[in-house]
Amino acid sequence: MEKVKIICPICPLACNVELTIDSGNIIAIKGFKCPKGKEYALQEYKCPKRILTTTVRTTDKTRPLLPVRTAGPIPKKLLIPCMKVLAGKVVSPPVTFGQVIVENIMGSGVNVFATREFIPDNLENNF
Amino acid sequence: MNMPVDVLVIGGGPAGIAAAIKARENGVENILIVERSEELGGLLYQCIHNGFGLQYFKEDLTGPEYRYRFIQKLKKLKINYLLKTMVLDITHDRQTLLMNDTEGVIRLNPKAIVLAMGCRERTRYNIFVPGTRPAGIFTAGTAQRLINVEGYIPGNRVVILGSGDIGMIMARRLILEGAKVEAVVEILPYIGGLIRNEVQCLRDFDIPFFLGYTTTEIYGLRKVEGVTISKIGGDSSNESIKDIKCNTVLLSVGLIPENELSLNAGIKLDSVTHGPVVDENMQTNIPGIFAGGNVVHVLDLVDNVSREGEIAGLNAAKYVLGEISSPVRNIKIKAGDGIRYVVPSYISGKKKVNLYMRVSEPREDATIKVVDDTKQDCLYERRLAVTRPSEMIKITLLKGRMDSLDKECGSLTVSCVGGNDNGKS
Repeated sequence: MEKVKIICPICPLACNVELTIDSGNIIAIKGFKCPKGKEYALQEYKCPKRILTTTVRTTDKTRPLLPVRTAGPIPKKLLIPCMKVLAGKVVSPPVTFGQVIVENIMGSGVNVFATREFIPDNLENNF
Repeated sequence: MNMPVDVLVIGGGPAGIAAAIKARENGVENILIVERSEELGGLLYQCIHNGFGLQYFKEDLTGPEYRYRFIQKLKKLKINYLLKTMVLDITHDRQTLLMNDTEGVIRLNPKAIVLAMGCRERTRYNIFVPGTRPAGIFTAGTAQRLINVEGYIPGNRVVILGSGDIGMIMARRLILEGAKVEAVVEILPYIGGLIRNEVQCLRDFDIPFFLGYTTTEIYGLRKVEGVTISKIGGDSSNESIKDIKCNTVLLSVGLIPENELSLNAGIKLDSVTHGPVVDENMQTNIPGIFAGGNVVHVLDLVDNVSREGEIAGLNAAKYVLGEISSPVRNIKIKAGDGIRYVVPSYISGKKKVNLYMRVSEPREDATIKVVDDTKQDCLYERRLAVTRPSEMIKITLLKGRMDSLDKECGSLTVSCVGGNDNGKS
């Protein structure tokens, strides 16, 4: 039997949830103070997921980077592989707010979209 | 340039935008936001990570997305703003001198002002780190701009001094961009930032962090070569003194409200927050000058910055419309045991009010108490499972609770007592 400790970051209580694992099966879970903490710890043990936020290059020298994010959480182990995919991505303006930059990144089923608009002809009204 | 201005908002970041929106929604026609930089939204554009808006919008947004929502609203309400414009001076009677490269010097005499200048990072010289002065030492926010906006990585072997939120977020960012983070070093015995950043930035990437260590030397001649860290109260053993090789040092050692303009106007600053002393309406000691957001006290979340900007904007509107007048000085709010500070400093006792505070140290099962200093009555009591200095505490004092107070010269003391101080870091 193995004990796995997971800190729940959902609220300031930061519960230390402890899972007891027997040959790959969760046989006990304790230390959470609400259902969210239990759910988080189970998900975190099975397949931890995170939202990836980063930038991609643009072809424009005045604004060389465009901020992007995954629309939802992706498996944690895909964070670095996704960074490598996005490192090779160069976008040409104009880019609208929310425009999809990479569809279904690394087969995760999650799109990567622009979190900012970039319309060079109208920079003053660009947000 | 000659424009009538009722409410002048100084600073176009999240606090200023929220203040302007609220002032317009409460009936003020002539509003002007003055922003020093080239765009609105403060530093949100460089905070590309998520975690914004969880309270305000009940959604997990990135900095640019949070900014986008507020600016859309600002545009919809057709609120005027000036970019690349610097406020040079404000007088005690609200005469304001601005300057930009198209209009030259502009004089305004607004009916009310909202200060929303935000805050500034503390630097190496605020914390006195001994050693040489090589290239490669940055504040976390500068590194954030270099990496997220300009497209440069400051170095590939990094030590982060301080465990504030921006520092931890930059640790993750550097790792994602291929650099190695050798260590995060924190002088206090607990992490300085939010728990979610400790988990998702440090623990996710197995970044070593040293709590209760101070930096005793930064060395290297042209470029940083390493740092020496020493355990607080430690000896000369290898456990106490560590040498960490690196070529870049980031400082995440706190923020200070930016108040040069406030001082010129004769606004009284608080010695703990370094921001203006404000009343329940976010009015400073100068009638008609309000303040909100990080210029008053450094807040934990942008959601709270927006909310506080809204209070300042609402009351600036009320001031213009003649609904409130001079600053409230009826009941003083004092920070007692276990509390570092409380905002606001003065309340009337005649209406419901929210008090925002930070505790001095982490505690479990502590009780927040508000006591009337004259009669020693306890007006409010709440047990909290966990309290941490990194997270602000908000309590609401209802009007009914304050009926017995001396409305002329009373005072209340807020304390955080009991429980134990083994608070998890």
